[in-house]
Amino acid sequence: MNISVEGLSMTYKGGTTALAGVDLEIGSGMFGLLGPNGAGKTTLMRILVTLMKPTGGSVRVNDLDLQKNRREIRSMLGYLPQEFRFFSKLTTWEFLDYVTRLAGLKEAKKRTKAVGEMLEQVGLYDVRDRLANKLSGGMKRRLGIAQALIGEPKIIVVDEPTTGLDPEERIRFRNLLADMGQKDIAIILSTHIVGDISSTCHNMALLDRGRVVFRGSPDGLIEKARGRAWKIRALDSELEEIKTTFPVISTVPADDGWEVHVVADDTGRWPGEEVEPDLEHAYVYFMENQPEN
Amino acid sequence: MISIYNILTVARFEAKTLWRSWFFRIFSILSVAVIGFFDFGALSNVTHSPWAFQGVPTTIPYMNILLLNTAQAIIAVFLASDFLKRDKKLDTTEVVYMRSMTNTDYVIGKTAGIMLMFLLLNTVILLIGLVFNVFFAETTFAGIAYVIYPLVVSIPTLIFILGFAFFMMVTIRNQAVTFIVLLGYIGMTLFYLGPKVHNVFDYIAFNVPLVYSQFTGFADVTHMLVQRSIYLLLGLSFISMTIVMIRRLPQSRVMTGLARISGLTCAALAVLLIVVYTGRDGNAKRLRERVLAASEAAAEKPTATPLSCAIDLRHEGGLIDATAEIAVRNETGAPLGSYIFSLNPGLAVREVTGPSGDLKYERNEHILTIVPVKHLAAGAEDSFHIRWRGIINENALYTDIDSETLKDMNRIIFFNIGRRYSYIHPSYVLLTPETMWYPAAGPGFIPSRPLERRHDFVDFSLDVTTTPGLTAVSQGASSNDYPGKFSFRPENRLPAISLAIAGFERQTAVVDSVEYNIYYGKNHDYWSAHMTEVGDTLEAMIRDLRQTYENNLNLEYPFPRFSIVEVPVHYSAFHHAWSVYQETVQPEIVLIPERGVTLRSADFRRMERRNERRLERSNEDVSKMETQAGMFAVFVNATLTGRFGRANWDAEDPFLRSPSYNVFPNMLAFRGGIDSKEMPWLGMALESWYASKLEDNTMGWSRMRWGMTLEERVNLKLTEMSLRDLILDPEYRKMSHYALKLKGSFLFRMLESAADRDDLDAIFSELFKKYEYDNIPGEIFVSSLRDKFGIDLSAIAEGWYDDISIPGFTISPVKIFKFIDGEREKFQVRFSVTNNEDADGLIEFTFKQMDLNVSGGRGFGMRRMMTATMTMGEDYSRYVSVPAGETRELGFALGFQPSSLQIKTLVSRNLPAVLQIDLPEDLEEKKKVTPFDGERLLDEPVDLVIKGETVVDNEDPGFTFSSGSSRSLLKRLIPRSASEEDVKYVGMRFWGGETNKWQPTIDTKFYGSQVRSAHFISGGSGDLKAAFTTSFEKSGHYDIYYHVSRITSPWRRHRGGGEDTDYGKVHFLIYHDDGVEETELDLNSAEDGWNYLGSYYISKGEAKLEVTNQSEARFVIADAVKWVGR
Repeated sequence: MNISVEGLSMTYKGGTTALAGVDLEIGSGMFGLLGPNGAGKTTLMRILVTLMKPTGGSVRVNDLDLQKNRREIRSMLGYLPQEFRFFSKLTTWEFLDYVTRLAGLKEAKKRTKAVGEMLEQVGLYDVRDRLANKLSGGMKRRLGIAQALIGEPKIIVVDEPTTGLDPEERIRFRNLLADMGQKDIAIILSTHIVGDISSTCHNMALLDRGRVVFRGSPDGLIEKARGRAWKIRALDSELEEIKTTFPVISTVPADDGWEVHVVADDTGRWPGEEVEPDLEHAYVYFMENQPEN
Repeated sequence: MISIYNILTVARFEAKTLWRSWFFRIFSILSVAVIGFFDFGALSNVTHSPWAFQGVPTTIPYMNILLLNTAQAIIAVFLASDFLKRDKKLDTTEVVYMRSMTNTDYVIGKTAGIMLMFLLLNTVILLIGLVFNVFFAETTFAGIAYVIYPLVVSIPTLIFILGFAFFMMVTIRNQAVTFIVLLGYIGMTLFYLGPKVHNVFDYIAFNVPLVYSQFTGFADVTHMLVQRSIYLLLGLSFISMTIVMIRRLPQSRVMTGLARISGLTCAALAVLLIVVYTGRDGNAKRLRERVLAASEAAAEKPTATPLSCAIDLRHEGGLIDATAEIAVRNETGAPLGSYIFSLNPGLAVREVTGPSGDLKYERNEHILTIVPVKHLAAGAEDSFHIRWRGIINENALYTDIDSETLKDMNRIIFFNIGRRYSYIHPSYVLLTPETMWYPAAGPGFIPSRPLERRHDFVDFSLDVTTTPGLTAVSQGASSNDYPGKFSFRPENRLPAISLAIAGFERQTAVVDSVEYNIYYGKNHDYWSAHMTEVGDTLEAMIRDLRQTYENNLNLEYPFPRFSIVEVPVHYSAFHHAWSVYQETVQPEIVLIPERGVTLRSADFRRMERRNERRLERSNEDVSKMETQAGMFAVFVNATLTGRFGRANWDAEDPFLRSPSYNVFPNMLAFRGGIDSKEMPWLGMALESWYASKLEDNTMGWSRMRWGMTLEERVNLKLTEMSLRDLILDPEYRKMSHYALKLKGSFLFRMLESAADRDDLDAIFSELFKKYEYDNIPGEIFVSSLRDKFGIDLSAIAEGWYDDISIPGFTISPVKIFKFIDGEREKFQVRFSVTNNEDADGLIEFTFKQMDLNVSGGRGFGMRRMMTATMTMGEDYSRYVSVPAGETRELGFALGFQPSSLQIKTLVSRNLPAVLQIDLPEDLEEKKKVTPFDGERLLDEPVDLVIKGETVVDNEDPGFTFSSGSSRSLLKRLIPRSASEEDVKYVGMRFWGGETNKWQPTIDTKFYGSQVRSAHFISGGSGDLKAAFTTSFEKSGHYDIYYHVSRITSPWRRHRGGGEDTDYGKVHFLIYHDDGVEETELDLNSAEDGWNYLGSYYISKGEAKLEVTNQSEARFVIADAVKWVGR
């Protein structure tokens, strides 16, 4: 599975540029798309799932042009949009059955089996007769995931999938995706939650204001922050100043004041202790050091 | 690359979602409940629903679908736009949109899902109808209707409105705006555009004629299919364009391209059909114009008089192929170079041959001009053979009828039946003279000479070949030599011949050597079940009814047979100006709509039920046989021997009346006529005089509905223009029949008042006998009257036809008392009449012994008709002629106590044209009185105002009023129909007739000399006033009186005088020297007539009284005020 994005750009009618020449190569496995809100992640995803036509550039999926081969590409897709609600009048089972039919599973027996299994897998089998919009937030999310995964898609696009999930659900979801990632499937996961990516993706891209500012593995991104992650011990009186001076990752109360994690080239007049950077450090450092345009 | 699988998937889930929506469920439940209730009301035994619901068995599914369709046409808009709204806002759609399917699959799937649910609902509604149809109604089952109506009504409507709603949503993309646009459109089509331009805007098909005849199906299949196809195509076009414009990236260029092509193609086809559809109207109009021009062009040409016409007709499915041997004589007095005939322009002449070979002929629309080999000498005879073939072009018929009348909807209940005038159908043929189905002499209707019609009596014979199994019905002795072959040999010459062919069944009875037949369709005999007991008495009843009818007319039924022939429900006919004759009545034959569907008098089930209830209430014991005999009499009296067409309550226009089935033309027009060049109206005038003996036009309802009766409208028009101008002016075409009828009978009544009626009858009988089955020459008719009575008809007629002046009467109050004459109690009635105008006048006075209105109640119409023959003799009538400018005192010494006096002022300025004066019950007895029975000439004219009194009537210049706007904003936005606007006096409608404008209306009870009118307004707050103003030359005390007329609705009058009616109070402002006094008059305790309000000092100069609209009652009436100086 290979998705190749070249010079993809998208300018909305009002003049807002959502994507400005994005180049990406996405292969099988989990691919993380990280970026702040408004970076263009959702636009990119919507283009990838054929809901939107880019104003420039191209996307090729296994050498098929996305714009010219919507039929083939749509039949490979699974998509979980960012916000997700359901037709209010369909039950969990019916909704998934509808999607499964549309995904091309025509044979009734196979479809019933697939729907049942998928519901088991996402833990919704017991509520299969409940109206989909009566499910709890987490259940709805799971149903969303189920509809994206069903029908053996080759490309799964998930947009901010873990927003609003409790930690347990989040882990469960990550594992589900990770399982899928073992096959020859491209899973594109867009998020602004760093943890989602660090725990699942081998490849990622960092998107900022419509541009890809980093492409590579999460480790590669972390490497860029090595030697720039610090822990500063600060008194109450110093905290405010530190916060305005450095991008702060976290602030933890300590015995004599605060333990503040920051990213910076050096800690200046505050004595800093270098720490092992993680993706979060790297992300913040990276974003802080992007040139304004 | 349409994927049926995808479409079904989308459809399935749309349908499921729709089924679970409460909006749809509630709509469905309500539809089922309402329509079920309607069906119950229309069909069950319990209610008094119109017979029309049962008469045509397809009416039940039609009604159900029509009602549902009207609702679903609106509801579908909400559902359709709701779906798209959801599509737009919720991300659920995205997980559907990114699936592999084309936009075509998606949009079609959605449409199919919604359609599926609506069609299910349609099925349920039809099933309800089916249950009622099979188990409750007295009607047969017509399965085809259950398929056809959803196909032609629901599907095009739904496809259109869904497509339209989708399209508006994808183009406007704002649900609120889309709603406003769509609901605005629906409102416009429902309330305003619907019936315009032949229903082209009627997407709901509410006005499209879709009543299905058991004989011939729909009235006009092409019309219907084109109209419905327009909406189907527009709907498909919108759906296609929705596919193109939907906000989802297309998956297949080919499919999107196809959708675009289909959208444009369907739109183009729809536009084409609209052009064709609306063009039909233009084509029809142009044809009519050409036909009229052709008639006009041939008008001057003399032609030969036909003597005999032997027709041989083959019925070949949808057309006829016929030949005729025609013999003619030249009666023009000069050699003839051509013969003029009329033949329907849809019938092509194939050949014309004379004894010595082919003859030259020319066609100009319906005109057929045959050129003989050499000129036909005066008095010589000729004969030739014509062959023709084709169809009847119905647009060439009724060219004398104005196009508005032709277009007017022919409704029963809320169905538009449509109009047909002729049929050539594989299983049904109906050809009447109006269709010009055989060559008839002369050019037909000539616009510049509207009354000059040839009325030739011809020796007809007819041979018919049709499909075996069908039966042909025509005039004369018939024989059926072998299946499909019929011949007809009329015993006498006839003015016309007609033909009906169908799979008729027949019931026959022979009474006094006249053969009575009913020809009816299979399964159409619903009446026999209601006539089970009359078998033995039928003969006597027929004899009795016939005799009564003949006696009333003093004419005999001349034919050896009489047949009722069923015709399809759409069959329609109009009145011509030149005759009482209407196409529904043919020699020996009356054409009755299938199963009597439009006739109340044919609803035996209802009559039976009503009668049963009445008997239960009154505890009377009437045998089944008597009831059935009564129903038979009702049918005959109401349909065959009664009124000449009924007023159509639903029509906007009182001139649009239901067809007449009165057999009367058989008594006169089909056996004779008057041939007068100078007085072409003479025949019609004579017919009208005879016909008026059968009619009783009190028309209480009619006035309330339309303000003025037909006769009153005609009278009012005749005060402005002469009869000649009225007849020649095409604008008054629909009035001319009634004007001639009214003035015609008036003319002969004038003669009748001059000569003795019996002598007059005797003269006419003699003439008819002498010229039986021929026309009486006009000069013979005139000279007979001159010789016998010294009456110069020509001189009288001149003024009658050309003068504008008509009489007008002032009638004094009626005095009545009783006196003893020998041993008998007798009753004296006296009053005076002045004819204030310079034309001689005639009044008919009728004293009624028993007021049926009072004792009536339900079932009254039926009882009156059943007992009509009994009560007729109990009234006393007299005609009194009042010459121009004269005053007569009239006295009536009656042997019975009259309950009411009816005064018919006939042709006059008087309104109402019929006064109905209730006479008191308790009478003073006068002794030593010389009874006076007759008339006396008086010098002093009748004056309703006594010396010293001042009266201001609402007709006087001293009457003024202030008005609000009479119509709500919404109503004002909708233009009024023409007929609503030109009426001088409006009806006081007791329902839905609110008016906040003082409007004039007429009634016997109102004050007035020639015109008894008042102004009325709805009861209100007192802000709107009407003022009566006069001027006094002397100061002094004046007693003030107000003229009260307590008007109740006619149905209250029927039910015992309306004692429970609250008449309310009238509020006055009386202007006098000390200021303005507010006072009121309680009408519940007031009397009809002058009521005293009080006495006031008023200085010389202006005096005024105002009436306000303040009242709790339905209406406030401002009629007249009287000041009496002391």
